[in-house]
Amino acid sequence: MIENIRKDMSFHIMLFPAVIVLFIYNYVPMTGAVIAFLEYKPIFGFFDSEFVGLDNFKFLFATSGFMRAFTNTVSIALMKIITGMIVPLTFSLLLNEVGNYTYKRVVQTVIYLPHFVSWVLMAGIIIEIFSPSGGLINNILVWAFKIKPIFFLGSNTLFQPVLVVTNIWKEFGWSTIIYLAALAGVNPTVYEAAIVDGAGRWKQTVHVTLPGIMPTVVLLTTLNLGKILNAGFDQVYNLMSPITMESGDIIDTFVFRMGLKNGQYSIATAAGLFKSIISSILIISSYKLAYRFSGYRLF
Amino acid sequence: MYKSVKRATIILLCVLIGASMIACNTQGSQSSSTTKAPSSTTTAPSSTESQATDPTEVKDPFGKYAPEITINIVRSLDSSVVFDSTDPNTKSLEENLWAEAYKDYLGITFNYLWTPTPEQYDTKWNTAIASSDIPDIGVVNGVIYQTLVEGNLVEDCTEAFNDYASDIYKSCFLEVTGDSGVALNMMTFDGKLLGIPVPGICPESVAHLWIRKDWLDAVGMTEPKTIDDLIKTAQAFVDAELGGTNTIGIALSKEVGNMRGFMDGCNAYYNMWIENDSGELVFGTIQPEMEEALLLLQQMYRDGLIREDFAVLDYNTAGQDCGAGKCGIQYGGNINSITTLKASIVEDLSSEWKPIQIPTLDGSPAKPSSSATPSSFVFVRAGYEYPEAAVKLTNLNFKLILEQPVPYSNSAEDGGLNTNKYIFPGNTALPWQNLIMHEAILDAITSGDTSDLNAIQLLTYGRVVKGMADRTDSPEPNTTRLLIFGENGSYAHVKEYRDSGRIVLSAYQSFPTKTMLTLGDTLEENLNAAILKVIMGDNITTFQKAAQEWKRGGGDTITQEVNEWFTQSKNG
Repeated sequence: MIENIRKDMSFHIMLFPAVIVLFIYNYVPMTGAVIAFLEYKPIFGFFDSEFVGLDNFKFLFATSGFMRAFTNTVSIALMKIITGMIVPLTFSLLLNEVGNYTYKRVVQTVIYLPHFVSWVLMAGIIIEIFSPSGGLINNILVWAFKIKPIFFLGSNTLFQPVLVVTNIWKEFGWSTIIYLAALAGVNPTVYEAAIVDGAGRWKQTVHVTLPGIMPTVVLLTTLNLGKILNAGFDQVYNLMSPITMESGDIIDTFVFRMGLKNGQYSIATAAGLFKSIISSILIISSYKLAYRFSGYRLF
Repeated sequence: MYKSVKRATIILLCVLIGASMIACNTQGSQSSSTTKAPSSTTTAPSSTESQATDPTEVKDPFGKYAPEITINIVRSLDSSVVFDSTDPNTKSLEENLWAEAYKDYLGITFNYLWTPTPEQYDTKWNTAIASSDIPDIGVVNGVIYQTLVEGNLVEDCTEAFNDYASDIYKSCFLEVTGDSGVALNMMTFDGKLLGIPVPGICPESVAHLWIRKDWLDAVGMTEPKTIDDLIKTAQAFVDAELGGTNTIGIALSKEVGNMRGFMDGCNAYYNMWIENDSGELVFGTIQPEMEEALLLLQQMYRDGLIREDFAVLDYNTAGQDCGAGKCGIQYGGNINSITTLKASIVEDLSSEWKPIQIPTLDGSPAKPSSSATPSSFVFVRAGYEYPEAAVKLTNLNFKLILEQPVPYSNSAEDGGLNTNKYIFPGNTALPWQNLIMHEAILDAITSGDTSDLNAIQLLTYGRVVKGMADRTDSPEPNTTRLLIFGENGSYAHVKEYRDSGRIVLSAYQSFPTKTMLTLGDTLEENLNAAILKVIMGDNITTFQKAAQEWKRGGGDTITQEVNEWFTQSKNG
């Protein structure tokens, strides 16, 4: 092993500063997780704050809002991950078929742009577009289907779908670009072999393209699974209102309200630690599953 | 040989990258305070000897320190604090006219340990407390202040305040003309005043009903005195489509707190503690009066007087409907003509917005709610040798701002820079300043004599007079100020409320209790959700259930804690 390291020494040296930064800013702060087991008061610091064991966790689980926030988080995140896989994949496959090079480039850039708009700005726009009194969407629906306007952002049944749809609109550009890159990497000779065997466009897609980009798909999905409990604080916080808290409150907004606004660090950290543990379990499981199903090792 | 040159270059590059990253990080961090702490202790030996030599020293509210002292302080800096390096008066934080004044009058120089943005300010304080590295004098919010007090990090300033505070400073805490002593009460623990109060708070922030007179004239109605009148007026506005096809009767938002104008009129006091007949404090939001208020609002929503998606709009977005001329009624505070309604006043010269007293159920004079709880507290670090320095600074701030507003209290509107922002500690304002300005302006208008007006008052007087004369001549800032300070402006109502003693304060005047801090926000959100749902059509039982939930989920504990304080403060 030492031999290997010596051989790649220049790479290691290049990585070294980044590793140091990662260590200082990502690994060392992990020790702060200990706050979750204390009744932390900033003035007493880590060592003098009272140790309360699992009390913070018990408090969290006992609070009625928390379990609701947890289920909301899982359902919103799951929907986002599934759509986040299907939509960019489909779109990139379709875009790949387009012949005109310039057109492809333009489309790529345009769909990537919403990614840079902050949710604070987007929320204002979305509220207006989905408004039941004069919003664009409702105007179209009423004109086309002659139904009463729907109060999208005020309905607990529709709030989560609206979150997912607007999020996809904003973010699919990023994944599309990655998939397009992966598509470009599929070996053209395999296509030719398929054509020789008499495969049409569709069969080619199913038997050549999809298996060819599967490693990328698996990688992206696995990485996203680890973020399953994130569900998008910015978006939810800006679009949520007291009446959609039932379906919209996620762990992060709950913790924000309960913990950070009032300086309740212990509770906020306990919730964060809880999220991290679940995420770790999910990443490890999906890694093992990926290996089992596609024989693909990530690391 | 080429290979080793290449290797050396790569290594050099890596080292450079690493070094630049480390350099960036230290530049970005602002807590390089440990090296500066000793400066206050070095001045200690020389100054104690000057104090010890004269035991009969007169306690001068403006006494200069000789030799000069340096005080370690911190403050927040945001985009409203601007400097102009070409002008020595406003050159930088360390070199400006106020820094000069502190030096010349009091012999005080400031050493700014850190100057974070307002968003990071509280976090920096928590970090500083955790590392036991706090400045000598500081201005902090209630939570941090409580932490400091609990940690015994605050110096007793009872003597410093009583002996050194100037008359003007002390006058800020009297009954009626001051804040009724709320701030001093909050900062007194076991009979000791821990820190000094930030002056300027007074319960002037009441709700008004802002309404369009031109629309009232168009439908031939008078200003609503009862809630019933209000509903009829809103209905008339909508029926006459005065704001276009989608006219909104009354602009509400998801921020339930901003509905308190309506709720006060129904005797329902949102988010306040009121004393019931048995002498106990109860939470206003869950009282029966609130149910009646909600049912009325529900009826208004059903009749289409409120925007259908109001429950997802924040206050300012909802107010934009008024600004755009789609709505003619909004509950607001003292300065809505400058905020939500400005667009309408400026762009639509036919619009005649005016604030009126909030309508009540039976038409009797309204009793609006307000608050005098300070949100900032000045404290002196325990063990600091000059606690009276904080008092003297405030004395000087008052003196210069009142006696020489130009240049010490310039504002951006005068075309200069906001020099007022350079002072420490915090905002120094007399309570009821706006009300006093309103009175002074009215006096000047009747007598025609403006010699008694100070610079700020004179400026506003000019605007009010112009606003009265010609609407079409630059409505902003003239008309907007007229609506606040003029004869029928918001402050006319504030004056009437205050002088007739009709302003209602929360009976709980202390820091948030333990349970308020842990569960308060969650409980409030649940209540808000129920309130909004009921307005949108849910049965009133939704609200009643939520009230029970509030009690069960922690509200009863909070009520208990509040009443403990109440009994203690009555007896102590």
